[in-house]
Amino acid sequence: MLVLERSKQASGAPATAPQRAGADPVRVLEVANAAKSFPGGKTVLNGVSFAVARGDSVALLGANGAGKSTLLRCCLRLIEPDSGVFRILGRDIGALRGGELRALRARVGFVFQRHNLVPRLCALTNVLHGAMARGAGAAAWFQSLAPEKLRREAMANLARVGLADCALSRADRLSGGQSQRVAIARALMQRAEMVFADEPVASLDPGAGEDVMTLFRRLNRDDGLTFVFTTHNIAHALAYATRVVALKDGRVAIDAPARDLDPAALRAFYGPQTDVA
Amino acid sequence: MSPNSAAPPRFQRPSLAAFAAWLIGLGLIVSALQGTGFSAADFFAGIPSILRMAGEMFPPSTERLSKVGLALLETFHMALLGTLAGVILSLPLAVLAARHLTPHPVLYHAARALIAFFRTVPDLIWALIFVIAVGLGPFAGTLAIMIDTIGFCARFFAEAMEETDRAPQEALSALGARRGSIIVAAVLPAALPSMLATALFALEKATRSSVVLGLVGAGGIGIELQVSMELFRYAEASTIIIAIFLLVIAVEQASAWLRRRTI
Repeated sequence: MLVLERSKQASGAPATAPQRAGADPVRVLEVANAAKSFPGGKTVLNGVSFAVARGDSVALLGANGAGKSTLLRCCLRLIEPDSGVFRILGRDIGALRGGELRALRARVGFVFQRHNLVPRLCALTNVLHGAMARGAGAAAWFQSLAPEKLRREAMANLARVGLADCALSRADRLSGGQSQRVAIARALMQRAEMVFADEPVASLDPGAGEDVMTLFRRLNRDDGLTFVFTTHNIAHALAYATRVVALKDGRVAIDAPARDLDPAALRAFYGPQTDVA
Repeated sequence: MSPNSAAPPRFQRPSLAAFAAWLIGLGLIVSALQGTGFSAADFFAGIPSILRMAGEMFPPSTERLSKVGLALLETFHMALLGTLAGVILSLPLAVLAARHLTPHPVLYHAARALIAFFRTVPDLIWALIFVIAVGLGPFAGTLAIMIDTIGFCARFFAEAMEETDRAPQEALSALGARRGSIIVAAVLPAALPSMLATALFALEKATRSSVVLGLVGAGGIGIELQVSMELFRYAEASTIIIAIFLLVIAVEQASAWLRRRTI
């Protein structure tokens, strides 16, 4: 069944409550009437509203240029939105400046399509950088200069993503899948409560992509990490998300539990060119 | 053949401004030829003097070899320390002069202006100034090289920082890192190969210029060369010239080797 009406997300409660027993159904992300146009007049977001509950795993779907990445970036103000309210972990990020903005960003991990590791530094140092979120400052610059406690924690996070044996490999010598897992370890080092991932597997081969998505699912299910990811891949959205939010023409076109959605109808919604690998 | 296929004129009539520019250019060249006393005859007449001098240069004198060696070492000391101090001071200045890292546009323009000032004043003039400030000797030359290095390095460091991939910097900014941490942990590692190449070029440049700085009393081997030439001790001068040549080659080779190793 394809749910196209937007009444669901407009009506008070989040579209899906977390499935786990005893989970706190508190909203960790609330976006209201987000709008963003780029110079040249292209309107990417035109009144987007949705909410994410703690422990949710949400897939943001949409064709190229539908505004998925822009939306995620606006949530952390990596791009300034034109208007709209973005409440992250209960705080209106638009009202924050300087140290307060950094403190809020620190609680949210961001995993990029191109991984965005510092290329000439080793995997361990890149993971260690996550500690900057907790005000580690100079202690988190380079693994060789870091205090033992931070090094051990970074090593433990690298082990969590299965890369303990690559600690001293340079980031630009890792495979795509390894490098994305280092980026996830960096988010874990932040001790983030929520992770945004912008097409986290778009640059990976299918096998590495499945590994990374499985890792995200494990962190979501076992560690309760709230997970919001954008993707073109309908199969991924249905397999790894508990909820799907689809954007079209700058608005939310679908907001429904993943189990209620029909792949064929989603493909029809996207048009024939959609990647359904 | 259609009437349209006739060949176009070989030359087009220049505009009045272009004609005036040509005229001014020609005038400048003619006045330069007169002003410098440029004369092929004088040049060829001078060739025997060069040959006589070259003859007297061989064999190079080994009499004052240890003194020449010490002066050469002093020259290299000046180049090394002046470059090192210049490179270190260039780093903060380059951050201010990098468009996306500067804390404020006013600081950006001030830093760019200072760097341009350091670069446009020749090192010999800096040496004259520092000889007055700290007295004759290698320290004045070292300071001159330092300022000259800042003029060269800070500009290229700033450009290297501006050309770095912004994606890792965005990632650190997204996780709440401070600007200083982003610069040290993401910008500098990315700009390092380019900055190291620039610093090594600065060292080569400093080695060459530290030879000349001796001429104004700012230390180094230049003063030895000047004395030998003025006393017509050409055999001694040739030893000094060979020594300078070997030093410059050695520094260039070492820096090329270091550059190859850093990717």
